[in-house]
Amino acid sequence: MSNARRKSKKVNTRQQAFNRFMLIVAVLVLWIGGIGARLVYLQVNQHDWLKDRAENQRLEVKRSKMPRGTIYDRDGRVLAMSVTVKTLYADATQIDDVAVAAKSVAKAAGLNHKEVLKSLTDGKESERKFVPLVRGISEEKAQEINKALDTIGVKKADMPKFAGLHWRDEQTRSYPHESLAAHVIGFSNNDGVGQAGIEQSQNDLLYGAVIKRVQERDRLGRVYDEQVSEKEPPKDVMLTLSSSIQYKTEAPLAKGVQTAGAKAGIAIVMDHKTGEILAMANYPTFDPNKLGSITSDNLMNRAVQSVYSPGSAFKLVTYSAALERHMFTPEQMIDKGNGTISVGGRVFKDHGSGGPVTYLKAMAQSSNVGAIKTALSVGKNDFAGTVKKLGFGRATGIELPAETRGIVRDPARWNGDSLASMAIGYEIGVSALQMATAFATIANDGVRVKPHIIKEIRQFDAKIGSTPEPESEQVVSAETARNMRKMLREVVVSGTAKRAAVDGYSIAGKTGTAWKFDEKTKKVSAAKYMSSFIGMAPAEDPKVTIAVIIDEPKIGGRDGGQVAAPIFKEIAQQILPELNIKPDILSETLVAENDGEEDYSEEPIGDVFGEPLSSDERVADAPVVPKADPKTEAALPKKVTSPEPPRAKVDAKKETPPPSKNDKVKQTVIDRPRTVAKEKPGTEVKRKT
Amino acid sequence: MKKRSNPRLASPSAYTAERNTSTLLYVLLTIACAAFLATGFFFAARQHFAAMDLGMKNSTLRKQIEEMEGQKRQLVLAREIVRSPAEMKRIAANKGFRQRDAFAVAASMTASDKTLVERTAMVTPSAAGPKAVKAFLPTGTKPVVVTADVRTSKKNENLVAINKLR
Repeated sequence: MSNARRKSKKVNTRQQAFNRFMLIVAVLVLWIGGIGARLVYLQVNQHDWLKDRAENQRLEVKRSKMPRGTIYDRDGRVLAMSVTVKTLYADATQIDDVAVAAKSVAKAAGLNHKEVLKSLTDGKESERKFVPLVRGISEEKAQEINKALDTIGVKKADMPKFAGLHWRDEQTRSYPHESLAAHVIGFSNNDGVGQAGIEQSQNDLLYGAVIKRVQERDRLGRVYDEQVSEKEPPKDVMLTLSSSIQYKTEAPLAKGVQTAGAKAGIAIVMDHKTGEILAMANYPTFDPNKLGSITSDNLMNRAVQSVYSPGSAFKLVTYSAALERHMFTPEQMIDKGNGTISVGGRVFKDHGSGGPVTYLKAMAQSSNVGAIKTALSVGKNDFAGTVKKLGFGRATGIELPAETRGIVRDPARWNGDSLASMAIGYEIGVSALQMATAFATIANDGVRVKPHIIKEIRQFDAKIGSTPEPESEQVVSAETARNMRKMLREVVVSGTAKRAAVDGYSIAGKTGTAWKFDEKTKKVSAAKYMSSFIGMAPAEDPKVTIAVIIDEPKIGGRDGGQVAAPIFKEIAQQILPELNIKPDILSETLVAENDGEEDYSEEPIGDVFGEPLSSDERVADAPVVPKADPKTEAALPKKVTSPEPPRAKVDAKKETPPPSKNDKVKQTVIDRPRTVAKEKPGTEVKRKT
Repeated sequence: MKKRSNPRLASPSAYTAERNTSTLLYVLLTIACAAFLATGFFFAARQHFAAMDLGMKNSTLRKQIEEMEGQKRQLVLAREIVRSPAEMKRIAANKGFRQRDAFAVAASMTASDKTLVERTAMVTPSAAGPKAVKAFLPTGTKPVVVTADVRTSKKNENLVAINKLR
């Protein structure tokens, strides 16, 4: 009996253990089954949602722009550079209490509370994830804001530790020299795309590519892995400009334009041996840091985009064409006749009296008759050939946008008087750079070097690629260029450009004064001028070519010798020592020989087309030239026709020599007080007679 | 006939001893495997967290590099701004300096004729004969009479002196 009981008890214990075991198994099966079912549900039905959520939590994709390439001057000074700035923005969907957030942000960033509240409220209503609050601030300022917005208890890896607020890196383009060389550098818009100047023409090199960063973050938002897409970094552009020379060119130009009450002004400084542009100045100008200040009026780079009639400065081409064909030497004589010439039914008049003069003097006096006669003897086709060879009628190829080709008509379409007109710089449209390049060709012994403004392309502070040699071509012979320089030198010594003379340096150049074409009347206007002086220094072995063009001067003398030459002088005075060019003469300003001829320091242009300016058209402070006293005139030396005029015979014992005609005239001018009428806006100043 | 071993036939003590030994071996093996596995997990976890830590440090350093580069650019820009003529003018004006009124351009364009008078001085006769020399001198200045030779030699002397200075 006891054995049977013991046996049944043993069976019961085993049964009980088995039951318990099965219970546990059942529970486990149910549990695992439940988990399995849930997993199936999540991974099948909720797959996409969960995947997105997991990736959003772990991965973050950021796109940012590489800083745009830097523009340097030839000395490595920064002309344009992009810097990273911070933008504080709000993800309005992450902000619970807009009012509190607005108050905190306004206090930390020093903003208007109402404006911030409005922005956040609008963003919250429209569920915007990017509501910019503060833009373009520096790293230091950002740190200050971070400190002010540090909220305890906010689990957020990024600064500021404030729910819903984030920083975003952006770029801003800075031009440290403000308006210096603004027309050359140009500017870029907020998207980092160049809109003008080098910024536009070299946009492909300078453009900062967008890089993609895939960041993996832990549950606290800390980045523990990052993949950055490889992109070619932007390149830097080094220009041939020298910021120092540019400044020394811009300042006198601005002053000159303001003093002359002119509409605009252009100045170009060029190294003719290499074709490098050392300075290219325009006035009026703009500050590329202030895009709002840019207008259509001050944006245009007139040096390459604007076309004008060069006037007498174009006589360089006329005489070069003749010299190249060995038609004369500078010392030979040319007969100006009675000072007029009729070509194609049009009468061209000359300034001053006629008669024979040397070609040197014809150039110095800017004789229209002399130039026209020379052009006629050269002939239409040869003249047109020289015009073309010197680079007119086609773009120079400088690396600046929207360069004009100029206007040069085909010889087949010329009128009867076209050759004569072109010989003195009319019926042709040129850019300032084309003119500067033509003079540079003469300065460079007849070799035309293609002007360029980019010195090299750089990357990672090192030059990349090889800079090709600039294209050069022998356009006129070295002998022609030398003779031409001799003639240009005479212009400064005794001709229309005495005011371009620089102490210690021999200057050669040519003035130009041309009536402007009036779009309204479709005729040249005698009231609007383009005054220019283009020259080189030193005259014997030029090192630099400088062009100054003034558009519509209104106050004071208006011809190139009076308006542009002084600006040239000021520029040359400052930059020649900087370029390490040694003085080659003592002082041109204080010593100039008087050969007893008429004074041509002022270049009237009214008689170009046989229509002299009336006295009313002349400005108030134009020099008054009274009639010379016949008695004094009788004592004057007669005009000479030989290349080397003999000096006037004067008794050396006399302490006070009899004044020459010029002296009398000049003294009379000086002694007489100038009358400058007050200029009313929109009216021309009339001279009291 | 081959003799089969029957556990029931073996002595209980021998059977128990054999079972205990094999169990112990299994237990030890299990523990060893578990320990190996745990060590592996531990090592992997350590590597994982070390990698994450390294990644974070790397990310922080990369960010710092970017910030430093940004700061460098800011500093370069600040230096250029300070060195720019416009800023120099502003600083000079704040320090009380006044800009020299006018480059010579304005003077030359408007007032040159008032300050400079064209005079004619007679050159002392030389072998070449009398020669008129035009010079621009300030109003009231008496023309200096020099010979052509003197003028030339002075010019040369001055040129030499100027070139030496440079």
